[in-house]
Amino acid sequence: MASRLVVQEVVAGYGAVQVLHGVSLTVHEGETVILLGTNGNGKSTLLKCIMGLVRPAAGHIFLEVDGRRCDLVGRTPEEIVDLGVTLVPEGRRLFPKLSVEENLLLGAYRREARRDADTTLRYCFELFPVLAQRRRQLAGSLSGGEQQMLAIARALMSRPRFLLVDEPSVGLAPLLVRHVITQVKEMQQRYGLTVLMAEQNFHQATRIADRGYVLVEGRVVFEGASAAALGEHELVKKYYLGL
Amino acid sequence: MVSVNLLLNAVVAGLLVGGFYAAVTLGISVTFGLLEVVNIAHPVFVILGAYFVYAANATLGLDPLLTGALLTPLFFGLGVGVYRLYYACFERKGEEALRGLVFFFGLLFIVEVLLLLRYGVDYRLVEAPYLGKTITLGSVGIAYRLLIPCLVGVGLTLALYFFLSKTYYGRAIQGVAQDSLALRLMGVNPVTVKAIAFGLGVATASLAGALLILIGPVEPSLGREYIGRAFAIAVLGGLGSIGGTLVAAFLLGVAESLTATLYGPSWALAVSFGALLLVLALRPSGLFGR
Amino acid sequence: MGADAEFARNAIAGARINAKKYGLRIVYDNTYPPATADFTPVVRAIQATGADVVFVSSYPPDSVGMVRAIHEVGLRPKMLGGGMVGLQYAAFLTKLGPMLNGIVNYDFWVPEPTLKFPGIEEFLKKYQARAVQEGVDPLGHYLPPWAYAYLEVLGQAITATQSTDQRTVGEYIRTHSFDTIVGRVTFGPNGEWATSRVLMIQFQNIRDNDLEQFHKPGKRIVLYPEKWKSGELIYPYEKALP
Ligand SMILES: Nc1ncnc2c1ncn2[C@@H]1O[C@H](COP(=O)(O)OP(=O)(O)OP(=O)(O)O)[C@@H](O)[C@H]1O
Ligand SMILES: [Mg+2]
Repeated sequence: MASRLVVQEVVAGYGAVQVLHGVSLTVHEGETVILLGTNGNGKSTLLKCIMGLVRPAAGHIFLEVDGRRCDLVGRTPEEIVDLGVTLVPEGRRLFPKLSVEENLLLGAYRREARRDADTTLRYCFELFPVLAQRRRQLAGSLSGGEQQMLAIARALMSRPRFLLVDEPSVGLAPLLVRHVITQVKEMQQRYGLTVLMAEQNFHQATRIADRGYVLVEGRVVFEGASAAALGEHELVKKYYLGL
Repeated sequence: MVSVNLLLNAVVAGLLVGGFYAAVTLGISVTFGLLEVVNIAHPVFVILGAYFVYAANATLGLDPLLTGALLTPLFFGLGVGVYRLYYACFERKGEEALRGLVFFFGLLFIVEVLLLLRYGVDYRLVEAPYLGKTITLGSVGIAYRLLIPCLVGVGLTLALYFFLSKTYYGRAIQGVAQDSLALRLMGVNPVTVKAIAFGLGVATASLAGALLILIGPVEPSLGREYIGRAFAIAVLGGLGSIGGTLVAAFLLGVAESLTATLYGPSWALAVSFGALLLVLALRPSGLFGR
Repeated sequence: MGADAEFARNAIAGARINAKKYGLRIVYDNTYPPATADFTPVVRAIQATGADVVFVSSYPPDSVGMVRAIHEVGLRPKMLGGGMVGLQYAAFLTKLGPMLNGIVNYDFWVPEPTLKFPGIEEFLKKYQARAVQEGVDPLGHYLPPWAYAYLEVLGQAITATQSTDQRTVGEYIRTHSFDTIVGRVTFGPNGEWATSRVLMIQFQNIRDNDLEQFHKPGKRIVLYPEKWKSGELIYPYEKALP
């Protein structure tokens, strides 16, 4: 049976500050869904809620895997990773004093991932050859683009079913953004991943997205059933397309 | 007149004692170097190990090294317990910096006092058939009393090195102080990893304690004498670098031994700490620090 | 050679004066820092000087380290020892055993016939019976007799003066002699014992690591003071080795 990730009426924030005001969305198996929204609208917060890093004040988040429903709220990030959900976090969060290869292998810590660590590693190096060249270099000394590739590859190393990606394009040159986004798609197809990606680069993101949501001030204001539909929305036109 | 023979013997003696220094320092390289926990109590764990080894030797006639090795699981458990307590009381609340230091100071004194109450102030030492034997290679004499600690120190370093660099647990231990949140995103519980690492660090103390009491007599407060030297070696090697710890321990051992031979032992410590300052001035992260 | 600490420095200062007095040339004069783990480099450096007499003033763990290193390196001067603290404890005597042979070192009381003062046997019997269960030094030769003697002196002074006034008791102690388990004690004008009572002994004929042998005479021979001398110095050092 198909699996999916469901977010229902999630309310969340930090202390007294409420950031999400009842967000609902669903990501179905094998889909690539993008989360649009300008700075500070709560994209990262939503991803953190799904990962168990921020606990929602209200609402539900659950996974359905092979017909079994599994609540995520109240679980630790470790447990959620074990269920097959992995996040490429904002700011990459690499281990700067570990080598590229050590970072990648740490990604495969999860028991299910260890078995195939060698093959996944080889695949990551195919996907991002520059990482293979720099496998012994410390992650902290990589360029920003290389770091982003490493962060994505490391997340893949844990062999998730659901891959959450938080703004992979930040700080990257346009050509590199294109490359990185293409490789996310490549990964998605290779492993049949279900991808939820927060992204501000509309053109690049919609190249690989099946559909998307627009988040404004902690609310879903628009749900685009296709990439084309998203481009038609006035808010998207205003903020992303400069129309 | 300084003979080649004398120099050669001094270098060998330095390497031998260096291997032992490594064994004493490894726990600090793990707990302080990798986990960034100010575990100044480590030397007292070494003394505790030495006393257990003494007790088993005196009452059951057990071999010191065997006892040291058999005790490692117990010390591992002790380390896990100490870290859990430290975590619950300080680290979880983000109060680890100063209060953590006080905690480990307190631990140091408590263990010392317990040992005093149980065993008194008298020096203790052990018997083993290999103590007092020497092998001679050419003009170099090697006492088993120092050779065995050196070999065990090197072996312990290698074992720890391979564990930390070749296993998933090991890599998690290396990463945990760098970014514990990132580790959680890899599905690793950082507190568990730290507890295991701390346990490993303390586990080395039972073996190091066996080595300490093989080399010479032990009394409860002897551990304090080793705090300075052990932390110096950990810093010199590069915090968290296990291989660096061994190299730094050898360097310090040889520097001390050469100084003691050529200029007199009173300069030995001054020379080693001078070397430490020099290295830190040139390479602030130590010889092999990342 | 000695520890970089108060007692050892004083002892070495004394050794220097005596060396000068007897016309001995000092070829090596050094201190070692606390927590010296290995003494073999030091012993080798001393060996390289070819010294005839090696005076060592060390604290317990270092004394053990020195003795072991001396044997590991094979240092063979004509005379060796001096102010090595620790070579009086049963634990160290039994662990070092035959390695002690030939060393000339200070001590306070040893079971030699010349030191069998009235009361000492009874005292030691009582002490040794309890020592094992208390977990302290099972021989009790080193400090306990002196500690007991202090109190004997005080007790006799208080009994004689029928006073606990410090001045009165002090005055009595200064001007009288006392019979104690460590012999007749008289104090000189500077407050020290009128004649020095620190013994120099030589370890001889120690065959194994058995504790029992140290209860008996013939293992720690009194060489000095002359008054209590119980045997002859074996010289040079090498001759005393098994
Ligand atoms: N740890 C925090 N503590 C307090 N407030 C926070 C915290 N993290 C985020 N916020 C606030 O929550 C709001 C939403 O932040 P969030 O990071 O979710 O936005 P975003 O959509 O990811 O923005 P960006 O595109 O800039 O990354 C912002 O106003 C931010 O200031
Ligand atoms: Mg964000």
